[in-house]
Amino acid sequence: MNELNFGYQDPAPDRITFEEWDDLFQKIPDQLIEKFHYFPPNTEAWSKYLFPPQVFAIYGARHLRRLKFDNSLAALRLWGFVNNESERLFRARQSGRKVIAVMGDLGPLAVLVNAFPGCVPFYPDCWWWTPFAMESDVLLDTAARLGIGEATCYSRAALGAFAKHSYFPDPDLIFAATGASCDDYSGVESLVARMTGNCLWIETPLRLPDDTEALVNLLVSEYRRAVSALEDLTRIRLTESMLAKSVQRANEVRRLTARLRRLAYQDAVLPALEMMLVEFGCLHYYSDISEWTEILRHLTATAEYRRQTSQPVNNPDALRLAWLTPPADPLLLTLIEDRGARVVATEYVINQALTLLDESVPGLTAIALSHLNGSLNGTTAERAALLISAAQAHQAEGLVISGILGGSHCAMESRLIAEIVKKKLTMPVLEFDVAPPHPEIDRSTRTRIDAFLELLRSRRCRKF
Amino acid sequence: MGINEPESLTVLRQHRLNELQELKSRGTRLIGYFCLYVPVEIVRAAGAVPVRLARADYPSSVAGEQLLRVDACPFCKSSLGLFNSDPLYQQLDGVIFVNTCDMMRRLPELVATRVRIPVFQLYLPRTSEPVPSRIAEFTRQLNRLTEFLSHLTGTTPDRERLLAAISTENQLRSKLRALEMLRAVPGSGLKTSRFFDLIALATLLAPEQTLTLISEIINPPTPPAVDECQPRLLLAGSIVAESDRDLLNLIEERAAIVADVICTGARLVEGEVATTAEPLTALARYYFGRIPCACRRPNDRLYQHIQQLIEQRRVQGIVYQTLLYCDPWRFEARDLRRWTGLPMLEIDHDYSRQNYEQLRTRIEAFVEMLCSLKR
Amino acid sequence: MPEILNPRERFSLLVIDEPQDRVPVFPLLTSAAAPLAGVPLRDYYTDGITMAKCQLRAQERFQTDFISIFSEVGIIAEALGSEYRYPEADLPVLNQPLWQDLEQAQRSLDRLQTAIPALPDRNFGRLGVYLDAINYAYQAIADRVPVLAYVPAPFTTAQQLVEPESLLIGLVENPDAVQRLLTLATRAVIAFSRAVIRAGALPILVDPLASGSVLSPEHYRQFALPYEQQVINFWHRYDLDVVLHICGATSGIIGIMPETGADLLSIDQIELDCALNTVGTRVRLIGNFDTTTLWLARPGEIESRVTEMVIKGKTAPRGYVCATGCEVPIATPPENLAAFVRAGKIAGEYEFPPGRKRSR
Repeated sequence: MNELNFGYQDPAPDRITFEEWDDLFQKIPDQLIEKFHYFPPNTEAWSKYLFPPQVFAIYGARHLRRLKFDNSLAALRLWGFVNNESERLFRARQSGRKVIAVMGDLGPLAVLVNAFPGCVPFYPDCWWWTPFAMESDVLLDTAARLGIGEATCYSRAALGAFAKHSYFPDPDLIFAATGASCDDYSGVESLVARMTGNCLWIETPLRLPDDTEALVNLLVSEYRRAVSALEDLTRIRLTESMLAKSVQRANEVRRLTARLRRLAYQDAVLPALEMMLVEFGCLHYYSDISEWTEILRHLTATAEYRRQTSQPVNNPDALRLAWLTPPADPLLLTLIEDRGARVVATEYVINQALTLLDESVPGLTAIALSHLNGSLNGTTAERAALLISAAQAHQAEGLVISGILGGSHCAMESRLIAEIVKKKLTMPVLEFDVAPPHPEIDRSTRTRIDAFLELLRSRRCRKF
Repeated sequence: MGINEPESLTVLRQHRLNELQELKSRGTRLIGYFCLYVPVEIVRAAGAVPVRLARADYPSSVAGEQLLRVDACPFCKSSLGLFNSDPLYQQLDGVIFVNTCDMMRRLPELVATRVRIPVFQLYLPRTSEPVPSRIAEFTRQLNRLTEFLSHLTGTTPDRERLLAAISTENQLRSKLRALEMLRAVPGSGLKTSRFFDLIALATLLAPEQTLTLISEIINPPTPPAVDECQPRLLLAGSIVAESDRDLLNLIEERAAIVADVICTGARLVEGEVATTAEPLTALARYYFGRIPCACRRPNDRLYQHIQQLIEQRRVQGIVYQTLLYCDPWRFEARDLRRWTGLPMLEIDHDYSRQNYEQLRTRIEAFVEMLCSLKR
Repeated sequence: MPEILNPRERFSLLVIDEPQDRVPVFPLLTSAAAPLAGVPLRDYYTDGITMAKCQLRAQERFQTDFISIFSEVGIIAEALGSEYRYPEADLPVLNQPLWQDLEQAQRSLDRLQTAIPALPDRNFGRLGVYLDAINYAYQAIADRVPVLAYVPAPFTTAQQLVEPESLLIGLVENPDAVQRLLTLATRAVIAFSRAVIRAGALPILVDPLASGSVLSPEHYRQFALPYEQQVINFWHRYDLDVVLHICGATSGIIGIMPETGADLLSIDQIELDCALNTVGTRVRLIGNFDTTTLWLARPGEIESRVTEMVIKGKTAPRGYVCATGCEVPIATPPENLAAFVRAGKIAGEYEFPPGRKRSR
């Protein structure tokens, strides 16, 4: 029995549909719905979040009707929490917290912001999923009107979200990291900075061999500028112990995530979709690190229980895939699992948010070091190496690269990574661009995925 | 020499290429570089010959697609292709890249996988505010570059050599600036397309050769009459490759380009390196602080610079040309249009000449529209 | 120049107490959408796709803030066995309630109770019409405009299950029997609403027959409110923002309506000031333009009256929606509707985002 389920008995692990979650939700006791609140120890009615996908579909997240979800209580908690992040950010402001947008570095700056009591960091970057979740062009059209149109990374949705003032509150401060990262998003940041006039630029250095010390120094001085801005905003002086505590809390999230990755990718006890949410939780904890940590513990207990009782959610013998660059359309992950494959390794451009922070060095140094672990800060070969080591760890049989037409790094590195991986792991590679938001996966992508999985299957047969 | 005779420049270029070949055979190192953020002074001070790599064409761009996706920047694709086809690129002893835009900063790795030429990645902070730690880091990068070049040439660019190179380049920039101003003067006879040709040549020739060339041009024979009623345009946007004159020629059939913010145009010659400070520090400050490319953050100074040009040169319209998938410039188009309030013609291209006639029509319509506004 | 927010975004801000660019504008434009599209009424309420298409056309034409899926308040009673006839040019008319009187009802209640499915299928009366309409509208527009499905409340449903006179007498003479009937109706309402929720619509609870025009405040507290509350509790389990609509007179019950748990109250015949003063700090208000005026007045007069109403409504501390008090009458001239929407939008404008003046 999973002790974090508070007496509720999960059904046998399964990936279930939108409708099936509604049936299951009828069995969730009221006490459990009342139990979970964000921004603990707050217990206001508005802070409940244990709600099924139906609710969020009614409020416009149409794609939820097509996804498949893990059927555990912990997963319901995860989905409810992730889906109500917009509201949570507004509630944060209403309850006197400062809302800080951190952009572009995908992880490190959030650790710094979290050191300040009452500050809630969030990544507008993550709103790139919104057009897909809603099957909607609203944010992309808005971005286009502002200057960033088609053939650009879907992260342009963040620009639309800023202009709309209704997906998150206008931030008290914006930190925009730019440099050795993606140009599409740097362009978004540029327009956001001009639109809001409230932006502090933070350098993301190019990772060069043997230059770590100098680059850490550079980053630390960048962070000091951020610290000054936060101190001015909050009138709180940052101490080393505040920072150390934030680093420890971030590490707790990263440790739990690492454990979940091992469990999911080795033992097939959690689906790929939920795992993508888990991995991205390392960026800014969906705007509430305390509750997010509890959710990760709950998921871990669920996954451990499944492992111990030999109840995987996916067939462990399913075709094992490595995945490069997070799929903007989450339906892709549902699709590949429906087709008898599972994800066992990922390189979702967020390595900097996954690696543990060094607790033995000063806080800013630790954050700088983690920033330098970035997936995109260095060479393509380094990124390929990250993927290869993850793929080897769980014997991936094929690599899927989901890119975006016009995405600056996709255009430049995808081919090279494919070439390196093919050479090193003699593994087939499927590369495709994620089509714009649509209810279904386009026919050509589906066909290519099917053919790819067929190829992997035939390779398996040949081996035996 | 007639300044509007491209043939003469072509001849000069060919002479220089032959000369470079000879220099190389005698042990002089040829160092290619892509970007105006590369301090050529250091290259010269290290005893090497800097050669700007700013050519691009459609066949080489298609060749580049072997390793890059179709949605990569055409200039990057073409550059990659040229390493396999252009004799100049193949003669290089080293290449310096700068991590300006994302695509450009990823190019050296691709070049290194295909061509056995030593590459140097110069890290220029993307952020443009002159924060001391950023300039210090860039200075450190210039030291790295110095080591790289010394290793390659066996010559250390010491203080004296650096100061001499700075002085020469300052002089060169100053002379080229005078030419740049000249093309804004109606009736001067110097078209922007030729000015760009000169700039391109200047990044290939030895400085003294360029200076001689300029002195011939500044005292030109009677210039041809120019229609003063032609609309006065500013050219902005992505890099204009030295082998790509289609757009400029089409524009200049009907209008005068009196200003530009192109990195292979006027932006290359702005400002001077201070000669009073430590040379590397002075170089770091100058190059870090150049009028920012659109890819730097913030790039407000670029906007202000454009505004100044508009006022000083009575610009009436903007031609904003971007290479396909050139995000840094493409994304700024709307904001720039709003900022300046001027009519703006936006053009996307990829060296393919596919839409040449359509382009001509669009330019004609734009110029007509400007003329009607004038009336 | 497009508005900053679309209706979906506007509503999302309203329900979390955040400022919007303007008040949402919500004429309760239900079956009047049929004649506007030149569609016979019977087609509208018997064919979900037709209903959705008429709604989408009306929304596009008048740029209102919601899609309204509704035919009439008998839809659940019909699913339970009351008989309706479908005139071509009118809404369904109750032909024969399921039971003649309360006694008859008592005898078959238990049987019926167990026969109500927890999640009815599309053959549960005209639920299929609703589901088709919701699905169609949802797929077409739900990323931009909320789709509302009107669900008759238990008391109103009960009134369609038994001869109304018998029920009203029963309130005094046999309250236990009425309560049992209401328990059954509540179960049916919840089941019906589950199907609606699954289809992607936000259910709104309509209880016109519980208004002061029919029930005394005491009877409302005893026979309507507790059952409204049960339905609303069920919806709150899903964290839905609940609209309770009671048309007719509500002055006598406005003070206790928030006890239902509703997050937004849609009101009709009551002074807006009175509603604001009584419950304005507890709930958001929706209302309450007189529909006869909407039907018969000239556009100019409608505009000035709407403006007057909205200026008042905007002072509601928890938020306000410019709406009609009841359904838009079927014969309402389109220019009157347009005037309503236009005036509501202009008068309803807020500074947005707060602290930044907007240029027109």
